[in-house]
Amino acid sequence: MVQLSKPSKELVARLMKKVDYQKQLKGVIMNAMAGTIERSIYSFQDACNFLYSSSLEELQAAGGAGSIRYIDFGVLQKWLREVFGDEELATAIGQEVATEAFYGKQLPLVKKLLMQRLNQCLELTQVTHS
Amino acid sequence: MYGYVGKILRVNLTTRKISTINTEDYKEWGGGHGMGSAIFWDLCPDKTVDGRDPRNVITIMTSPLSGTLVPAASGRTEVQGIGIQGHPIGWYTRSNFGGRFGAQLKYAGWDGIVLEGRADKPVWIDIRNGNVKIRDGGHLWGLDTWATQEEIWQEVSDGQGFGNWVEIDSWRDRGRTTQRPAVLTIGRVGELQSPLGCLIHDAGNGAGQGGFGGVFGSKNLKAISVIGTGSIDIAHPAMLMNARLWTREKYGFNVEAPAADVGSFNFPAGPGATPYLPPGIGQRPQGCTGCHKMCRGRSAGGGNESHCVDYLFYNNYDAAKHGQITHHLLQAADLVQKAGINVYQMQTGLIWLNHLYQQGILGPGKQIDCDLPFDQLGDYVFVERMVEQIEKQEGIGKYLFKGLAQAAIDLGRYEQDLRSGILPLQEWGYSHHYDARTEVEWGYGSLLGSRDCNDHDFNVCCYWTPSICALFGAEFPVSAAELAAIIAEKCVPYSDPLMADYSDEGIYKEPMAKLVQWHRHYSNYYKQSLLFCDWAYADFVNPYAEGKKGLTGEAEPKFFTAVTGIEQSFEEGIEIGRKIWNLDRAIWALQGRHRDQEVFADYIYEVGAQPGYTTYEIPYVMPVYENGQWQYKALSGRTLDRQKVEDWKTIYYKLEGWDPNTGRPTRRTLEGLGLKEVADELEKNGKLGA
Repeated sequence: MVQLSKPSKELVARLMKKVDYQKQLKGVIMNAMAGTIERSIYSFQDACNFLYSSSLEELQAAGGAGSIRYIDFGVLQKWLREVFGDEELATAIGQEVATEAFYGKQLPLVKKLLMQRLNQCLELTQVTHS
Repeated sequence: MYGYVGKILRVNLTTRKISTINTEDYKEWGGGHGMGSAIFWDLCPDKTVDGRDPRNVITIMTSPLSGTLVPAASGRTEVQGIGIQGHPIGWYTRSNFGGRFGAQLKYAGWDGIVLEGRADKPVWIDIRNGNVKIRDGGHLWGLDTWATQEEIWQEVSDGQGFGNWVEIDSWRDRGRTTQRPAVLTIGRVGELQSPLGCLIHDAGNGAGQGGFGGVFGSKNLKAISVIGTGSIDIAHPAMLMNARLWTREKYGFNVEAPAADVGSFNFPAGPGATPYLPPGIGQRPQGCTGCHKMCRGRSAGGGNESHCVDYLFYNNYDAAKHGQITHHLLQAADLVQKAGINVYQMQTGLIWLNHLYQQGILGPGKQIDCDLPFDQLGDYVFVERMVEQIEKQEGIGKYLFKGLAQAAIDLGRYEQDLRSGILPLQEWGYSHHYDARTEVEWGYGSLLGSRDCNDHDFNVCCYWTPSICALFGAEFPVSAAELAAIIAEKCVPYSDPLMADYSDEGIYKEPMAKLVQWHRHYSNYYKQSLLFCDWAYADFVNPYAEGKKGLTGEAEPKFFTAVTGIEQSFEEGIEIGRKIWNLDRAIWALQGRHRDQEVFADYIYEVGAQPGYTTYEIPYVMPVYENGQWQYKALSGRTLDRQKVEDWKTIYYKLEGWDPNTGRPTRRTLEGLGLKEVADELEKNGKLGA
């Protein structure tokens, strides 16, 4: 997996800040039984928490209770670039996504990258706070 | 009569008269929905009354299969009457719930319950076999749905509590049971006659659509309790057992060798409930009476029996706030069940309010004053506060209490928010569930009916399974051509090789009208009248079956005949479904339904972008027939064309034998179905199709 460089304080500040309505990211929760549920995402951390991956086997086992979190990764990259200015993360997502042909297999890779960046931000935020 | 227990309980809450209706008189309708509509037709002379009017008649019906060993057809109960949730009017409508109420009702000797009138003070109905009492419910009024059930359990068991014998009759062998009574009850919002009111049974079986909790409240009826110690005569017990074993062996989940194919979501799904629990919380499968699937769960941590939108409505907020699913979600799920509140409206309301809040339109001192703690969205306290405001009709709750459509009208937001889609009420004021723009059979079926249709038959095989396969790169269980052939083969008598064509052109053509026609007729009879569960039937594609053809078409009549002894073909059942659909259509006509009203919310025609950009756009992968061949294709981004939808409606009305100018049934169609008196009534009221 791509190792992200340590973000600047300015980038961390942008990433940890809530965005306004016009800059929201759209996510969708696809449920087998309950239908599709829209989710408006207003922060980077929210996006990280929103995305979690289920394997095909887990979805099979879940039957009607199965659920997929969906964000268009192209839109996610654009959002990270244009709203937060995180070119490195956006590019890294593009690289990881290119290694797999299907969303279900891309998702865990993207999630790892997002969490890597989020943890960097949290670490630096804690240092700053202390 | 086999399968049926012979009589229907009729309770007039105004006069307190308790009487019976012979089931035989309505047997031609099968049970459930069919019987309910026929009884409603006969007993509610003025079909134009409001749902809260004491003249509204409510039916709560079982089927001949209820309480038997027919897999996934024993535990459902159908509720009907004039609803109060729909917009612009409540329409004559229906809901349905699982659990053990229907089975207990049969064991008590009743095929259904008919409610008329309005009690002069809060009451509950106590059914112990043939002994039926209308009891004072003053002490229950104000209790939540769980506390109400606990109170009634104690009363019926003389305070002995669960696990002890309950003596309910004098027979030595059949007069006592260790079962708890099955209780159907309402919470506070139901008592206050809100359209958000649900009927709740046990921990999490709910009849949510239609607002029947509010209708119960209008009748001063807090609960119905039933406990029975009788049994059901089966025409051919060995045939029934063999049929159940046949489904298990040929079509059921194989725990030792689960099918590798994607697609085992309906009849062959394995036991289990939501996989999305907080860390460290375990659960065991739990199901309705007689079911082989056990698709719900009980856990030590809460969220019991909640596994659909009642559970999912808050999980993303919880996870977003806390980084993972936590006890906040379980508490929220339990709260809405206890409050007896419609969770689809809660979910859609949350989306809508959050949009308005983020836009700066809603909040403390804003254009729409609201003090809900949005900084705590994701915590249990947010849902607690929202429910409290609805129950007390204070703050934003005084608007939400009336249902989302009316709330939006009162707040001056209705037209613009339905156009943009931030208030996704797809048709009749009901929450967006599945997308009419892509999965058109769901949308058309809902639009032609009275509510979100909630029929997953084609949803599972035409959308969910192909979409998952596409998202994961898994092999499709069947090719698009094979899927189309299976659907065409099973959808008798309307079979058309192109009926599963969801292409941009196909969705407006006659084959799609035939698919919708079959879907409405199948659901009306097999799922809503015989009460085959929506989460097992129809079964089109089954990874365990030979040729992957599911059991639909063969299993339904096999079980019906085994239980009732009546030889009835699958097609004959579809024809009864057509009759029920036409009777409902006639009732809607009397209520004023006209084809001009049958339009989707504006966002369905106007908003459609690429995935990720706008409301509900996801990778919808469905079968299409293009350039002379079948394939699966991603359909996101599509909007419906207004004129083409209108043209499609004309095609559909003609297929059904309805007046294309009004959408109302004609005399010829109704008389052809043996409904001459219905045609006469429509004519008398100037509502007969020309």
